[in-house]
Amino acid sequence: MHRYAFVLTRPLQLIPVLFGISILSFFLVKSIPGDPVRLLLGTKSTPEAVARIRAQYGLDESLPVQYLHFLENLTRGEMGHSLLYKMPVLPLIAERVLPTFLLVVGSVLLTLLIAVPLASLAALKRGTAADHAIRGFTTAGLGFPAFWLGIMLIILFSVKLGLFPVAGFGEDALTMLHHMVLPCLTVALALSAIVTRNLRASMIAELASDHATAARAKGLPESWVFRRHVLPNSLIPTINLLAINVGWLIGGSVVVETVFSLPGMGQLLVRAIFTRDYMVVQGVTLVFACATVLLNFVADLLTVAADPRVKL
Amino acid sequence: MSLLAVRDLAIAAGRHLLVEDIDLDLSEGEVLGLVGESGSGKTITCRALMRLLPEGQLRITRGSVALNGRDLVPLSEAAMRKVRGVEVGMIFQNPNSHLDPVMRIGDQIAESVRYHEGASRADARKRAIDLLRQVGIPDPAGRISAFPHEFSGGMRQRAMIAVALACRPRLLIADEPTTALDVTVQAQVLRLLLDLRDRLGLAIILVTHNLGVVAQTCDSLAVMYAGRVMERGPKRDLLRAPAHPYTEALLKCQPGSAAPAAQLPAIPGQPPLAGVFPEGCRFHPRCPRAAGICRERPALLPAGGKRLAACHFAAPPRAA
Repeated sequence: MHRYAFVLTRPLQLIPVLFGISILSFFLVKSIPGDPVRLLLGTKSTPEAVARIRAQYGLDESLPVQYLHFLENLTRGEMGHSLLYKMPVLPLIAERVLPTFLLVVGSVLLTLLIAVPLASLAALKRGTAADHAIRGFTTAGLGFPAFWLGIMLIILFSVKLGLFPVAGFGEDALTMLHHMVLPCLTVALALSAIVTRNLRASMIAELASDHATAARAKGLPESWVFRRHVLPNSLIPTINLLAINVGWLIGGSVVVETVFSLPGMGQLLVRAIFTRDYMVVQGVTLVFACATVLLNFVADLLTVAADPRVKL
Repeated sequence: MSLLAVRDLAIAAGRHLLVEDIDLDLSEGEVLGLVGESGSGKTITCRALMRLLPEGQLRITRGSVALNGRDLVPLSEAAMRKVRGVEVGMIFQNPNSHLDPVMRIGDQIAESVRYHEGASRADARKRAIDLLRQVGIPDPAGRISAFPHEFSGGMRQRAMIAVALACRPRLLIADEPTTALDVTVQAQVLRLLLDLRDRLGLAIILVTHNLGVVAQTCDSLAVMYAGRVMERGPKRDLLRAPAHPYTEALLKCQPGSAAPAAQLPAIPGQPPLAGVFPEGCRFHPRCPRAAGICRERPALLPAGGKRLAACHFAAPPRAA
């Protein structure tokens, strides 16, 4: 079978996964304590009004029936109405996809931009001051919580130096990117700590590997051996590591969007949870879960592209 | 003049001498067998010839490695890079781990051509196809874009030979090239090496612990034990009438030399550990002929014919 055949077969395998996601996101929301209708109508609402709203939103039916309705609506791209925003959930989410998407992609790119040079330096100058300094950086990166790091970056780069905006999201491409730098950096600093450590370890193993020795026996200079043989081989486990962290990355976006007031899905989710905006919570959870599945698929694609031995 | 002349080479790990008194000679088109048990220092000797000892762990402390009359030991790294792959090629025991798993076979052959000769992509590719054909890989033009895991063990070893020969070196160091292969494939790879020797005039250092391989392929032989050369000389003399008791014991241990039903003979005792070598002759604790004089170190001296042996009892009868 062709190595990329999984691109065609994987979607079939994903059908049960998507069912699982829909069930989980549905019942997860249902298990949240609190009554959304009373929240909507306030404490002085009459029982008749409550019953009428319940019927209007289909909340008076049994859970399995509600779930089936939910599925049926999903097939039509209908995720219900937001109680808070008084509009359909799908367009509500759609207009908030971009900041989150940019945050996740930007963070991963920035992570590689930080981790690859640092890990290379640490692996090549093993045991030197540079190596120890990088180890210190990674330890710190693992220790600091994202929200604290974000606030510190705001204080330094926005308030003191005035280089980047404090919060919010731009109007055009350029200002958007400008607004995304600090949020991405916040996530990347934490993520690159893990990635740097892993990458350094696999680079050290690859530098001592038999095929690196064989490459040196061809008379190739150390820089060539590193670029052509050590780096490609040591990036393979890094792709896996990033894939494992996809969930963490999406979860982390919630915190970071809140700190930087980014109008993304994470911020929408937090607000929806606080206001018991069931349908929005459900919708965002669903989108996040699907994004996780999709990003893992992308990671699989990258793994297959990077390692010819892998068959999925 | 000989192609390679190694004199008095010594290799140390920290303060421990692992290998010393290594003398080897090799001329164009000659196959030299470097024989010895595991741990006798064959592999680190080969790495030392290429100056490829693991940095900070092993170093050459003494001696010279003259290739075409030029000593390699004092050369700079940059100068050494023009020797590796260009003048001396090297192949290894395990082709699985010594080929880069994520680089195409053709690129692994072509990269040294591109680096050393500045060849264009197309020219390097042509050379790679030609080399794969020379080492007997069918459909070489189709196979250059294969990855190592798509080759069988024997084909991988052939590919590694092609990699080592990419820049047409005069000397090939083959570190146990057949140990990891099936017996039938072993014979094919050895035949290929001899064929290349005949066609290209290649000199080969063949490291092995298999005396059967030596008998089939080598012209001359150097027997190592505990980091020293015990005996060296033409293969025929050494295999027929070994001058050193260790060579003799080694030959006796070959399956086939004993009666079919008898237990295989073995050399009593264990080889010494590096760093705690015995005084004098390193083989004397296990040697059947050991005497008091063996506590003094024997030099590698002529022992009849063209051979040299490091044994107090191997000296030729004195001329009257």
